[in-house]
Amino acid sequence: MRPMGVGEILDSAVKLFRANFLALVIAQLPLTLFYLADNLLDIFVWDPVDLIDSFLYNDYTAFFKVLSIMFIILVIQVALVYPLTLSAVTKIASDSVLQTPSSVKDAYTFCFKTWWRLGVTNILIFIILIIILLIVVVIPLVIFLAAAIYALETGSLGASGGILLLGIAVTAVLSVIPAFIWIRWQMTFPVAVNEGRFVFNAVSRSWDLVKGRTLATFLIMVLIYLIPTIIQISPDIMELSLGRDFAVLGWVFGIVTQGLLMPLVSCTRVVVYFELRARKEGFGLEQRVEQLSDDKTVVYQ
Amino acid sequence: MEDFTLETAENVPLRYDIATVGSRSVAVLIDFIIIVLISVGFEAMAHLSVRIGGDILSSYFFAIFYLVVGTLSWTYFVINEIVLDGSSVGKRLLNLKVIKNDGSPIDLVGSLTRNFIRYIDFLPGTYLVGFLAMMLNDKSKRLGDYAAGTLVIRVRSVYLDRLTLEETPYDDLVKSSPYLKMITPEEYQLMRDYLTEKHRLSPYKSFRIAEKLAARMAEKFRIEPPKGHERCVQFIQSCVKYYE
Repeated sequence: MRPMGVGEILDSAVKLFRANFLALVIAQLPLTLFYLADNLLDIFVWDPVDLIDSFLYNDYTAFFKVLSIMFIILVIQVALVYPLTLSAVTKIASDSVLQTPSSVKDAYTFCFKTWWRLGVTNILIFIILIIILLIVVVIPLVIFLAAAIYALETGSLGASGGILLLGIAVTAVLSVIPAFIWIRWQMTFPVAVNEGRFVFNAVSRSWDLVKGRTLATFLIMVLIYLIPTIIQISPDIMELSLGRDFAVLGWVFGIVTQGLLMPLVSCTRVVVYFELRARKEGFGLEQRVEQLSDDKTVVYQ
Repeated sequence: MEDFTLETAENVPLRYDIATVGSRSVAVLIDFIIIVLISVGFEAMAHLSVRIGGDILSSYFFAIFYLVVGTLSWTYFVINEIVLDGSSVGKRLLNLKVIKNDGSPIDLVGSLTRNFIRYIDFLPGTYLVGFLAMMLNDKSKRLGDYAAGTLVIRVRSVYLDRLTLEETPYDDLVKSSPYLKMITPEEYQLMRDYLTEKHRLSPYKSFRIAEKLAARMAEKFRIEPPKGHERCVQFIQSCVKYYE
């Protein structure tokens, strides 16, 4: 591992993903199945439209019942399924980079030992990001929206449009704050898996690692997220161009993308993590020195 | 790392780094942004020609406009690959290059073919076909590459090594030592890499690595290991200088 450019990092991530494809997809399976179950519940058990209707027609019992089940599912996902799966995938990718390959079983055994610390780390990140997103993006947007509706009701169409545009512009600018924090925390799971640091330790270590390379890391992560996103919208493009309904295909593509391509994002995170360590801490050099030190036979050959 | 090794007529292996869907998708994204900008520019000029030159000039201009915009996604890549020696603007920014399977530069027919097949790779409008093709083979070839017998490689930037090795107190010792030849190529490369990259490292990390390297070399030269960061670096510098 050595300092690399954006293109080289992306290529290394794809090569890492291809080299461990099967193990990564199997490790990702719990999250894929969870996502599948969640989708099936959405389709067959509760429809978001019905949920809104039950609220509008004062059927609060049904509304809160569904809402509480949704909340429990969210907690299970954030506290257990997501951190465990992400860590297992990260472990497999990291061990492949370090040339000490581990199986899916090894990866999960490793992650189960620290599952609650991984869960707490993910909950911390999730809650803080949600709060920041609410404060700097959602609340201002709602205020601007309310002002625009008020202006529209008082008959001023121009003012309403102006407020709406201003709201969008302000929200876009403010979005930089959660995006900045999100990118600085991207290395949290590679840190947790490779260095055994959790919660605040992992978050602050990730922050320090990305510091100075924030824009490059942001660019890499956005670009790699674009690949599954673009592939996922293929049925929508077909729907637009052929004028036929591909809803089921769209749903299948969503699941397949989640299961097969999301490990690519984790691989990219791992490559960026080791690249940052090589760049800032001479990780590759240190590793090579250690290897030389271990190899005593070379000294007096 | 996946790579592509080509054996020349003189049996010299040439190793290329294959560009995967990762960097190629970024390059194509940049190229498509340029194509959109050119199309928008042409459209603006076509509308401007109506005001300036009247109906006759504008009808010619619109004819050219439709021809250019209609074939732009094809001609853009072909012209780029011929003019920029197998690259496009996006590829050049990411240090990528198209070559033939035998390692020779891409020619006009090859470029026309691979870029014509791009329309199939682009299906259903999200590059899904090309993406699947690239993921399913170890040379990351899309259908256009198969048709034209080409592949996309990463051009390694060959930069001049600006490593300046100053005089050190260890120069005489290292130069005259019979143990100098005991330094292995791996050790030499590692010391050289350290000297090139040490400016990036924190003083603590730099010292740790220098200390270990210097101790290793001292063991070879059968001398006491140097003490302190500066001394270690000087010793390593001398080793690199006289190994060369």
